[in-house]
Amino acid sequence: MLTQLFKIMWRRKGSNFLLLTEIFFSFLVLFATGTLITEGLINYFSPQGFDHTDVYDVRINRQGEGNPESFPKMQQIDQVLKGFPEISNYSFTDVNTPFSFNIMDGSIGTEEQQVRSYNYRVEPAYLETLDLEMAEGSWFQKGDVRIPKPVVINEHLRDKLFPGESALGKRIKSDGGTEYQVTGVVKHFRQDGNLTAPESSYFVMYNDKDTADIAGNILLEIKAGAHPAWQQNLIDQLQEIGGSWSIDLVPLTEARASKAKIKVIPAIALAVVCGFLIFNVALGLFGVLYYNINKRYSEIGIRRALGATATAVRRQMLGEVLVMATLGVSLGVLLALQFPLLGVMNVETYIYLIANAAALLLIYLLVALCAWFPSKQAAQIEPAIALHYD
Amino acid sequence: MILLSNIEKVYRTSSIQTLALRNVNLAVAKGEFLSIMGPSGCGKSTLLNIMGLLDAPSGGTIKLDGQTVSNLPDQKLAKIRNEKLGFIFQSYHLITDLNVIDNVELPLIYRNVSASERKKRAMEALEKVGLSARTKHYPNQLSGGQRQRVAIARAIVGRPEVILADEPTGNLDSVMGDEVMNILLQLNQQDGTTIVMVTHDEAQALRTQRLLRFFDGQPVNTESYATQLS
Repeated sequence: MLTQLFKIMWRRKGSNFLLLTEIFFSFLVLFATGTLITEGLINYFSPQGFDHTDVYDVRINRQGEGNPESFPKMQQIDQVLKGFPEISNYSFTDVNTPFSFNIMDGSIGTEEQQVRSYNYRVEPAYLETLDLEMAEGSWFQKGDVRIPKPVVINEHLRDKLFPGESALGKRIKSDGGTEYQVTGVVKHFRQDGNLTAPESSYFVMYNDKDTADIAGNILLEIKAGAHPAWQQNLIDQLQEIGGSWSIDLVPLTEARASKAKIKVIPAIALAVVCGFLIFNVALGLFGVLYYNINKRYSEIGIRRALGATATAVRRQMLGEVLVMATLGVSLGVLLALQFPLLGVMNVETYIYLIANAAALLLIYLLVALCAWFPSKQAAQIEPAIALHYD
Repeated sequence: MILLSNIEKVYRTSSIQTLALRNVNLAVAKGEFLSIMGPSGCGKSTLLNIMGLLDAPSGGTIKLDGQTVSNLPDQKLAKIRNEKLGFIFQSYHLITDLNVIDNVELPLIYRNVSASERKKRAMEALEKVGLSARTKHYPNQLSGGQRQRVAIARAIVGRPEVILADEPTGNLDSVMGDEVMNILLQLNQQDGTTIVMVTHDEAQALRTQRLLRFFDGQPVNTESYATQLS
């Protein structure tokens, strides 16, 4: 039976080519969209590397005021924060706080390899403020003035620069020429948390003694159950020090929600496009299969007259379509396997593999569903009626 | 062998209903060669389809070897069609994408016969109809007469007790028609196969043992072979 099935399919290669092409392109579409969806889902469910609950971002705009004038004000602000009972930890940082729309990036690495990375200037308390988790080594200590300067990198950067080995004690240089020595490695850290793919990052210590080097933001960790009045109270006090400065207090949960909107809208658009594509693929497949099977009513009548049961006819039709699907997706899989080799979509190999498997499963499911109805209809037709088709 | 009692067939659409067969009672004896004649649309092909379990009657019962088969489920009907019945059609109904031997093997596939045995029996059937040299040809590479002989080989490959032939010579010229008719007569006389043939060809019908004339969904007379000759 199987041999006959292949013979028939080979003899009908002309008309089967359309179906094969449809399945091939459907697979590629599903594979590509599947890769994007898989990457998004994996990112979303992976640890983001920090805890942003109860953390607030104080965003200071000095309205163009020079560093020498601002420096004493920042020291006063430091004193105010120290005396605030609701604050459990705080850290001065640059403007690239988590979920903000500011980034700072550059290359860093060894003589052999430089890696594009996001960099963060932070204070030692940044570790506790965001509950960063160390993978190895230690975080900065206040007053550490070692040369070369200490740097903490994240695991992503470590794996790129020193795959399979410890990064501790290793010397790396930024594209600005500054040399650093790795003192620690933090887990997972990504600026936009689980809204983005893993990225290389490194942290250097903010020098609070440098009058020419003033932080733009402050991250505050607030004690659980703090009375909400602390917010206005703090802003009033900071505003009094800053004078003409503009000062905003933004909870990181709110910052994350704003960022998520921007990330989610394209994701929704992509999901709609994906849904539309899958619907079109299903419609196309159904049309081609319906036409192909309807053309074979006469053959179905012959087979029924010669002793085929309705079930045998249905199985044969489904079997043929699944064999076609296997041929179509085999070509698709061959092409899809080139994606990680050529780095087409710039994602990890295992994501391609998951998307490949998901696309395979979906294609077989779609093909089986689309073939099921015309096969069932064909199998149910009375043999005498089927024999009248030509 | 085949016993039809009070068979009726009604085709219904939303607005009209057509009575194709009315109260048909017919017995076909084992080893008999019966031909059915009648004008177009009189119901003879419908009768053949009902006898062959390709169509269900609207009323009445069909018995095959004493067993009532009119109400059997699809699986059992398919088994009877496969094992007891062979079909020959006017337009041959060969599968164009299969070669001669694959077409002939078809009934055995649904009987789960091994590939080697299928091949052997298909070759025997093709030898019987004189087409053993054309096994690898496709239907569109054969003449009408050859195609009908392939169809006969396919009908006999499963060694059925009954062959139902619906105008088997209808698409053939007289020479080819005679060739096909000779094969059918040979099957009937030598192998004892029961044959029911619908035809428009009086000359071919007169070569069979019994002729049933059909008109307006009913048999109008039956004649024995002896009566026809006289």
